[in-house]
Formats: sequence, C-alpha cells, structure tokens
Amino acid sequence: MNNTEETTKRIRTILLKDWDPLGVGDNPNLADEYDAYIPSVLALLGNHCTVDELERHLLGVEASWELAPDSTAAQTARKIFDTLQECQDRDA
Amino acid sequence: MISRDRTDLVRAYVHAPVSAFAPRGIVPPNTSAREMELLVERAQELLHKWNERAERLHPCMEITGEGGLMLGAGTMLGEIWRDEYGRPRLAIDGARTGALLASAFERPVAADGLAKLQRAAVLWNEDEKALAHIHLAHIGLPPCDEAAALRLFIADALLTAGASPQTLIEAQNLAPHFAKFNIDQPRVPAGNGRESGQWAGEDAGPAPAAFRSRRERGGRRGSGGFHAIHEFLDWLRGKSNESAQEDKSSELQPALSPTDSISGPVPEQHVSSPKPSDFVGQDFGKLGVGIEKPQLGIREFDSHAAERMIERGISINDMHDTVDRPLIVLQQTRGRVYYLSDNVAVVLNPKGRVITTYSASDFDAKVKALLGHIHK
Repeated sequence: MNNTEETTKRIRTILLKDWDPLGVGDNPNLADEYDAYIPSVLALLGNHCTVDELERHLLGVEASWELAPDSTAAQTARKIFDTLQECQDRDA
Repeated sequence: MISRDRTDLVRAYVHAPVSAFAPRGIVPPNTSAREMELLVERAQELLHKWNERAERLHPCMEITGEGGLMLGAGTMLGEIWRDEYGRPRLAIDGARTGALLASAFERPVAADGLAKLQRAAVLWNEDEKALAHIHLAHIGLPPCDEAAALRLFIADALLTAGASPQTLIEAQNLAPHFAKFNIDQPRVPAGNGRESGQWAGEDAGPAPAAFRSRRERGGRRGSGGFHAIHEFLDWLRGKSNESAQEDKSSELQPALSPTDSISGPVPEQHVSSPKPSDFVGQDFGKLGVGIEKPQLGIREFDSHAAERMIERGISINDMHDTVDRPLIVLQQTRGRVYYLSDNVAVVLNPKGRVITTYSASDFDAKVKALLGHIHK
C-alpha cells in the first residue's frame, strides 16, 4: 500500500470513528458514508492547510445538516493532522 | 338504488369529454333504465380499479424509470418516453399535471410549483436523479393521503376519458390564473422576500407554496369548489364499504368448519404491533434512547441523503413509510432523530431534514439486535 492509499484509508477511518456527525460510523456496512468528503480533505492537506482551516472545512460540511454543535470537528481535524504527520515521519 | 344527484356525477364521468362536471342536471329527466345501468357499471369498474391500486399508496411524488412521475395510488403525473437513442425521458404536461395536483389537494397549483416540477424533469433527464428528487421535495406538497389519492385517481380517470385539464379545473371553480399558465413565462427569482410556505386562507392550516396562486397570495382564499368530486367520492366510498363488507363475509364463509358451526366463530385475536411508545426511555447505546414518535415529519432532503437514497435503492415512499409508521424512534446525540422500520432507517435533523438513510441490507448486528428486541 502506498502512502496516499494509506493516508486515504486512515482519513476514512477517522471520519467514520471520530467525526461521524450522522451517527453511522459504527456500522461496517456504511463505511462509505463520508467517502465523498475525503478528496476535499486530501486537497486541503495537499495545500498545507492549518488545523483550523481543516476544522472550518469540516464545520462547513456539517453546516448543511444543522446539527447541534459539538467539538468533534476540532478533534477530528487535529487527529487527521497527527495521522498525516505520523505517515510522513514513517516515510522519512 | 342510486340517488339522482349521485347519478349525474357518474354520468359526468362517463361523458367527461362533453360535460365533465358541467352544470348540474346532467342526467335528463327521461334517462332510460339501460342508460342508468351503464352508468353504474362504469362506476363499478372505476371502483374495482381503485380498490386494486389503493393497496399501495405513494404519499410523495416519485420518479420511477419505468413509469414516470408517480403519486398516490400509482397515478402518473408525468410519463416516461424513449428518445431516438432509447434513453428514458420524463415529460411533464404542465396543464395536465397541474389539474391533477389541484384536484388531489383541492387547491389551485401556483405556476412556480409547476415550474419546479418541470425543472425536476429536466434534471432527471440529465441523469441528475438525486437533484431531481430534491427539486420534487422542495415543491413542498403535503403527503398524498388516501383521500387525496382517490381524488387524484378520479381526476386522472376523467382526463383519460377525454376531459381537458382546463374543463376539469374550470368545472371545479379553480383560480382563473391556471388557464393562463405558461411555463415559459418569466418567473420571480428566488429570494425575492416573499413569504413562503403558508396557506393563503385565514381559516386554513399550513400549506406549501406550490398551492398559493397569485390571487391567494393577495389574500383570497382557495375556491374550495370541489363539491362535484367530493359528492362522487362519497358515493364511491359508500360502494367501497359495501363491497368490503361483502368481501369480509365471503372470506369468513369457507373458513368455518363443522366444529365452528357448533362452538361458534373463533374469537378475534388482537396482536398489538410494536410502536415507539413501547420503548420510551430505553437506552440503546450509540443508536440512541427511545422516545415517543415526535411531531416531526420529513420536510426536506439534504443532498448527502439524496445521494445515499439513490446509492442504496431507497425510495422517498420507503422513507415516508418509516417516518410515519416507525417501529421505534431514537433520540441521538446532536439532535438527530433516528426512525427505524423493518425495511429502512432514516435519520432526520431537528428540523425534519433527512440527513441520511439506509435499507435493511445495510442493517448491522446492532440494528438487527434492536429489531429482534422490538419484535420479541
């Protein structure tokens, strides 16, 4: 598995397990629920976005669902950054 | 025996091309017995058709690739045809569809509501199926209940018999703007500041914008002149009840065994089906906590949900069935409300917007265990 595939897979898991604004992340049959948002996350990371920018992006996606606010977007953004860093460190 | 004022409505159906719901007294004084018989036969035929189709009602408009734009008891508001490349194409005849919807919901249909329908058809033809269904949802029609479905069915029968949409509308005292409706007429753009989503009448309940005619927007109440259809329906309902009772007695007859005839009929068994109130306060972990079915219906669809619907092969009617008649309703975190039936799970946001949905084939062990608990 190359670096991009690994990163994509890990982002997918984070979106499902940590972000999961729709509450379906535990269901293995719905593992594709947030796949549509992975490319934009990867694009932001590719453009060297900050954690805050990534958080704002996730909040922007959530906005259309008009859910009660919580802190998962911030935690998710942080975790994605840490994961990316981990992948880069391992490759270095 | 059919009373005179019912018979003239039946005749209106039979002779729709000439006189659909035209001035009363359609049946002349010298109508023969044979003519009367024919009228009754025709009504019975219609009734039989209704009884067959009413078994599966579609409360919301739905575009099916084979039939077209469907509502109520399988009534087609728009037909699918094939172009020269064999591609399915949805066509909406604005006048016909407007007459059908107005008859079903007893309100004139505003031009912008029809324009949205046309737009949905264009999107569907461009293979933007999710967007097309979103446009349909945004028209904001109320759910097509059985009564509305029956009115729709009759109106369709009248049109099929040859009545023109305009005749049908005019005979029911609809707003005159309808006849002048032109789909190409420039529209007032969205966001112009007009209030939307309210009934125009002072004594009416909430109603979608699609039914507000320009005159109603000016404060005039809907004409409510659908007495002809109402009277016809009353008569049909009476007939329907009669035939239902006949069916019931004929079903019971062969079930009676010799023993029954001695000991009497088997007592009726009352099996109560599970309902949300049976599970109020029960905690199902991440799935949520059981609550009473809230006064929250499906009001709109998020684009994410629309895509999941398409991907997962879930129809709007499946979702409405689940939200209207759930086995259980769970309050989840962040204000989400989870509706579950044996076939579909639907998640709404606190405002009634569908945010995601999945079908039984995607139920995981937790959901299956929950269903097992419900049916225990």
